[in-house]
Amino acid sequence: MSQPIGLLIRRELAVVIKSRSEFIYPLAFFVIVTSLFPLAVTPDPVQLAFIAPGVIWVAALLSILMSFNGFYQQDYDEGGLEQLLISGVSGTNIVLSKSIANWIVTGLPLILIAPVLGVLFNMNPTANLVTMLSLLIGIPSLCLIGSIGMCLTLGLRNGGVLLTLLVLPLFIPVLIFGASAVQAASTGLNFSGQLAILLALLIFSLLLAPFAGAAAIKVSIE
Amino acid sequence: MSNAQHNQFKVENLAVFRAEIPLFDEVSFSLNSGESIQISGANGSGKTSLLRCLCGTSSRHQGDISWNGEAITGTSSTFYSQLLYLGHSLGLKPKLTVLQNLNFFQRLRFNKNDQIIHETLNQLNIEGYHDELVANLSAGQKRRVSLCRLFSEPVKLWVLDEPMVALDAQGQKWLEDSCNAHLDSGGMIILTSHQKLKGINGLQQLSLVKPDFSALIASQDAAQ
Amino acid sequence: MWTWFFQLASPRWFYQTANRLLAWLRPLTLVLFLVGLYLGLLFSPADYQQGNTVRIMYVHVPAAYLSMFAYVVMAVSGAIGIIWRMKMAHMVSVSCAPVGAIFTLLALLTGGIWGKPTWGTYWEWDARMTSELILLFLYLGYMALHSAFDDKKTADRAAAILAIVGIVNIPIIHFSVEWWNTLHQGATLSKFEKPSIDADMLKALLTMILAFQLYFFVALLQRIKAEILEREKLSGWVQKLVSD
Repeated sequence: MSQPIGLLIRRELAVVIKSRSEFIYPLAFFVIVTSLFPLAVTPDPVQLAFIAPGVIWVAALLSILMSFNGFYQQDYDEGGLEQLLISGVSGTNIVLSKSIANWIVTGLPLILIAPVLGVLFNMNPTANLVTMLSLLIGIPSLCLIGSIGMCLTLGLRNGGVLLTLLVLPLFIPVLIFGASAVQAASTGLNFSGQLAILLALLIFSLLLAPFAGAAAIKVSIE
Repeated sequence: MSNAQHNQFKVENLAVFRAEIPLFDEVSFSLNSGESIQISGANGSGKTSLLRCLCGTSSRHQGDISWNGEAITGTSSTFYSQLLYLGHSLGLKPKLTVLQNLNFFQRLRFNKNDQIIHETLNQLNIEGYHDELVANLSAGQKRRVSLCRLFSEPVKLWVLDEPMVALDAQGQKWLEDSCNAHLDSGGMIILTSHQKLKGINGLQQLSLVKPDFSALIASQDAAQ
Repeated sequence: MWTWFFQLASPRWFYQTANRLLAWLRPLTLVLFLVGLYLGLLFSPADYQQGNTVRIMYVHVPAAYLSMFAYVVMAVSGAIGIIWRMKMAHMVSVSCAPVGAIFTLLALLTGGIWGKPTWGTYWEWDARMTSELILLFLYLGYMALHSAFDDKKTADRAAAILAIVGIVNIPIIHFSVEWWNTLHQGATLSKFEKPSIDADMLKALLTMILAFQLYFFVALLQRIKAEILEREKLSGWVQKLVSD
């Protein structure tokens, strides 16, 4: 069982290495969207530090949302998903491996660039560190939850907009606790509770999302 | 590959539906080791839908499909370790090379064996392309690459949807010979094709017939 | 023992039973509404703090309750539809969504109308109101997903999966919003339910909840009937029904 997951992840990563540009889009999106806020709201450092946790988390959420298409849609269109199922790979393994690959490919760059944005937003070093930590724990949950919505909309022509409608409400708990952890850290409060809940959400989505995603793939493949 | 093990693929009273309307009259057939069957029918008669149900990727059907006496979707079924399905979409990643694609599928179920891949590519006249990206190949070449899986993944049951399409005369000859060799070694083949395949030994025929709808509605009304 | 369960699966049987039930439910709902409105608007006292504004509670609370109840019915029947491959259950699930969405909208609107004189604003990011808003998004997502598929069977199953994922998530969303709310506002400013509610108010409220509950079933059965006719239009009994 673990062997195909490793194999699947390596295949996803091999595709990414071959088509770099496509997977830089979410990162570029993340940076550009966050840097619009000082222009739209205010360049005042105090206020920027105040809105930064929310801005960074919302932008990260949207960038992750953009990344699903690249992992699932092509594979579906080319018949790859079907071939995997016929070769005896379970739907849960597909969802799990794609989510892990998505986290590595889309999530890690966001996490690494986040402190740079934190500096632009006048965040203190602790808050910066907590931003990275909260994204590190929070993004895998987003990848897993989002995969359910993505798998449900695979066969649809304009699935992209619909995906947003389906998935964003389900992202809300992760957003609340992620942004709140950063906020707490930037005002010098204790943030371990929020991180613990983020971790709990991750375990929960890890246990359930692959099954829901697998069921969704089956429906879409038909 | 041992001849000793005997396998049976059985389909009983299978009806396939599109939008709740049956596509063809119920079909039943069974395949034993070394047997093959060609499914024919007009365009839109449900050949591809039937094959997808046989592979378990579609559940718009009624009736039983079993492998060695157990439903193919059963928990202890070994069906998916013995099935190879080549349909209209081939499942090849255009951004990966020929060898990467073939290796990936091979290693899902079998040990890595580059030698057999190279040999088969050679037979199919595309040996020089093993490091080429699939995106750069022609339709016929992609077809040949996916046919290579028939040998790189030694399974018992081949399900081939229009395998002759996009193949030249030499390629078709190769495929027919390969099918015969597979059957001789105890394999089974289900395929669809519009042409007569005289080259394949002992190929059974099954043609899909459009159901008689007026009779169907009458029987439904009687049931109500 | 299980015959009733399989009878439920027959659209024709369901349609006829729905008709028999509706004959009773419709007048009963009407009577309950009249009694409830009388109790709520005329009989029960005004609140000592909120005055007559409190009377909107008799609509708001039942609507909010039913918005959640409808989601549960939708998800449970969707799950039944997937597990037992019962198309009737999917029809129930699909029919639930618009009804539930309307109740959610009603809860939000009445909440806003109540909020203006009480909070001084139509919208307050109160935990309950925020949860209702997210619930509305979930309903909209469900309906959008179902209508996006051409094939009804695929639509049913996809939407059912979404409803199940939604119902698992609703408690988590609710908990997060509650938590977020206490973090940002301290204790919630004011709530509809007082720790001790006047007995006459309670009487009116319970009557209205019952009336709304019955109204929900009436509306649901009507929608299911329409759904059955739409989907079974090719079958003999529907054609006979229409031509008669």
